[in-house]
Amino acid sequence: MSRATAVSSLALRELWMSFRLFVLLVAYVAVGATIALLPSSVVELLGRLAVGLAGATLVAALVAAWSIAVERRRGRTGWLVGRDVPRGTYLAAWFVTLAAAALVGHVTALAVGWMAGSTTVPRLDLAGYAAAGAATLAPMLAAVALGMLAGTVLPPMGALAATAVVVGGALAAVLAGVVPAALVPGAEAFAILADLSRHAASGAIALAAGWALVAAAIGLGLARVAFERVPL
Amino acid sequence: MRRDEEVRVLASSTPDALWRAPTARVVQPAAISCRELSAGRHLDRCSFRLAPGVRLVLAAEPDAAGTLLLRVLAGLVRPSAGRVVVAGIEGPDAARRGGRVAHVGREPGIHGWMTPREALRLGAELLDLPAAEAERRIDEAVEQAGIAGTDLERPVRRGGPELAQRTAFAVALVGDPEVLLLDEPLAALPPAERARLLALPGARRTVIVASSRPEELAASASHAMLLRDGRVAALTSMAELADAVLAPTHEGLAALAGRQPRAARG
Repeated sequence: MSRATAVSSLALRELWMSFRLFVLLVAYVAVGATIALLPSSVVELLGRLAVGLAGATLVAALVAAWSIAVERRRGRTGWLVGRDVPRGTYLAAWFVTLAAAALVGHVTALAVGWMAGSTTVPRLDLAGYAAAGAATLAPMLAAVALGMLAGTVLPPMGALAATAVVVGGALAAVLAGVVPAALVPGAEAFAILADLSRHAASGAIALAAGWALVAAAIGLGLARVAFERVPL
Repeated sequence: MRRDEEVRVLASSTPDALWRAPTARVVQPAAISCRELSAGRHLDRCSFRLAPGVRLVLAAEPDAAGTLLLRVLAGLVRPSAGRVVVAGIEGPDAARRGGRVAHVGREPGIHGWMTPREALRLGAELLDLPAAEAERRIDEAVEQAGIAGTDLERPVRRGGPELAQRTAFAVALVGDPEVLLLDEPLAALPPAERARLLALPGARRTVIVASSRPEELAASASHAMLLRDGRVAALTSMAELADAVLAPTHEGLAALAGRQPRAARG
């Protein structure tokens, strides 16, 4: 088993045993349940779905921040690095694990949204819904990367607070209409999902996802640089 | 040096390699060599060398300086200045050490839900040990660390701090490291058991044990060192300490430091 696989397995098991995986999945289950159980029109359904996915994205970022910070604080990161696990491999393995866990919940919530939307009038357009839904995965990756960056440089409570302020604050500002969605990388994807009829152009969807992926890459790059320097 | 003299430079500080070297001039490496090492607030241009096979008990003012030094040597903290060579490998990157250096910190670093056997197997797997060799070393480490058979399959957190520390110690031994760095290890164990475990690691392995009570480990140590103001205030053998009629305590080392000329210190 490679070092990356070993660390990923360890990370997944730690997320499960610490109930952080449970918290993450419950966030997405709550989104699905809200969509499925509350009667609504298409517009209301998509609006709730977009807000719910944005909230679950914040939860994913907070779980990422707390996980990385706690692993450092309790000496587990140092224990692994001292056993020939390169720092970059450690960080990459944790990102893959966190992103995969959030991905499962995210896709499931989108699937529930589609099933709920298939009973409404008018029905959802599959292609447009799938494209907009897939685009919301990119800000989820960016949020996880930013959470990991916070967890790399800050202690656990500080990482939680910083992530809540940056990720949560940005998403809340966009949802409240205080900040245009185009100014927050990835937030535009949630706005497009919430209002499919007005923003059906694939170019806008691709642009929103692209900016979010750029933000994810920057977040991960900064986390990698910081991780080489922080004490473990 | 004459041209016809054969000089072998050995890259590893493994005592076995030195003992088996042919009768030629051998440039004897140090197991640990620090020059002008600075890190954090507690290490300031610290310099010292330790020969292979030394068992050093490290006292420090404050204790955090000893912890910091061990973490720098283990590659967990990047120094801000200076040069570090541990087990023949230069540089602060722990991941290049190939298992030649093992560190046991104040926090065992093992997940509480892991059993000792899982932790030992993971440690062996990360060192790329073949399966049969891994099992042999695990069995040996379990016996040396005194982990009971009933505890092997029990989550570490259910065995309390004692099981966590024994497990961390056993995992450190699995890699058969050339340099073993122990930071207040086994504090949860009775002093007699602690002394037994600390006397265990291979006779020619280099061991540094940081302790706020160096006298408890004096019987297992060959040398003692005091860190003060970020530098080595005293580095001596236990025999020299006894000749100076000084106890192997923090105060004894401080008294020795007061007698040594400044140039002799690191």
